[in-house]
Amino acid sequence: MKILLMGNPNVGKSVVFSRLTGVRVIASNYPGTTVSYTHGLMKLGEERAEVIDVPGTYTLEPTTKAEEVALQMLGTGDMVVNVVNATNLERDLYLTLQLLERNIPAVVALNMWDDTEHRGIHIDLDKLRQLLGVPVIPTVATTGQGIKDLVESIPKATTPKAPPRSRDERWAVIGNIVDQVQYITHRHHTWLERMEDASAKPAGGIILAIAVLGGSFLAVRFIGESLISYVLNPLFDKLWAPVILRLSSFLGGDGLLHNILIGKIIGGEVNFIESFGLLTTGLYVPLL
Amino acid sequence: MPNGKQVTLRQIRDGQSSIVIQIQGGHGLISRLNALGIRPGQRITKVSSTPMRGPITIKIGNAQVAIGFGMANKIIVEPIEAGNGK
Repeated sequence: MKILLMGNPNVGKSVVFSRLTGVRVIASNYPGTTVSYTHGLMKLGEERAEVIDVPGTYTLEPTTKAEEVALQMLGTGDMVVNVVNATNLERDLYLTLQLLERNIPAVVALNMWDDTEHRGIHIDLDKLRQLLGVPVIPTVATTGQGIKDLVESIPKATTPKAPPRSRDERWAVIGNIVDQVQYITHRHHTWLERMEDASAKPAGGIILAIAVLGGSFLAVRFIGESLISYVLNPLFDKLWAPVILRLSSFLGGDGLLHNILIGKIIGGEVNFIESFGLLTTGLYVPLL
Repeated sequence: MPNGKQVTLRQIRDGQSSIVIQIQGGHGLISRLNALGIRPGQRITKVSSTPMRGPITIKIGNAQVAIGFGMANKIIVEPIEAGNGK
């Protein structure tokens, strides 16, 4: 079986592809990243299915080179997974309608589903399923949410008998669908969402990056210094020093072995910094 | 409200919203822009432009697309006065 991943540019087809096949493809936040196609294999029950990541296309009436490639590939597939940007239904459904007119089994993945909530967009999934006549699965490809459902829905792909339409008819149908399934509420962004937004923009991103780097530096310093002064230093002074002193008197306080292992005993005490022995300074300096 | 002044997309300033009135181009351009959702009656916002006849970014629905300078020059729009709802 040959599965085609189709959708508008920059809706996350390549990320869905990676999720389905485990093949790493370069996905970036620019439209048109996929110009040639990539293919990979996925397990579908007992079978192995071939998945093809088709270049992004806005329409099946090809207007660019990449779209011509996409159209040619459509003829070779057994079914289509149409990846749709859930936050931009109106534009993306144009391609969906064209696909449905082709009488090829299809499943719609409403990708970027998390972003709809964030933007206050509400989509009535059941209604959308009913109007399109194909399974509609909400997904968040970047986190993997909904991918399992998507895989399970692939065998259930349906071929709706959509009549061929003209351009204006399609837009009219889309207007109708969007009116019925989507409503938008204004909602206040939570501070987490504000941070997410800020991190995705250059200025905010740099500030956040510096804050995170600075924060981790301070954290490492804090943890390190507390370890030294509250754990390691007492450990050396209270536990290790008596052992060394005993060893020192056992070795007779002098001699080759004593000098190598313990070094000099300064003023009857072990000085971990100045003794210069393997078990004294040799342990203390690397550890602290 | 649209103020009745029709200009090309390149003539309006960044950040200005407008309604697409007409696309002065051949079949290819009309069909290309149609697929992007740029068709008469649609509301688009110019996000940014680039000097030296560079591409122009517009926002349509929730998506941003960049179109060539030449294309922008063929899109006739009617600006919506600022302050008239976003």
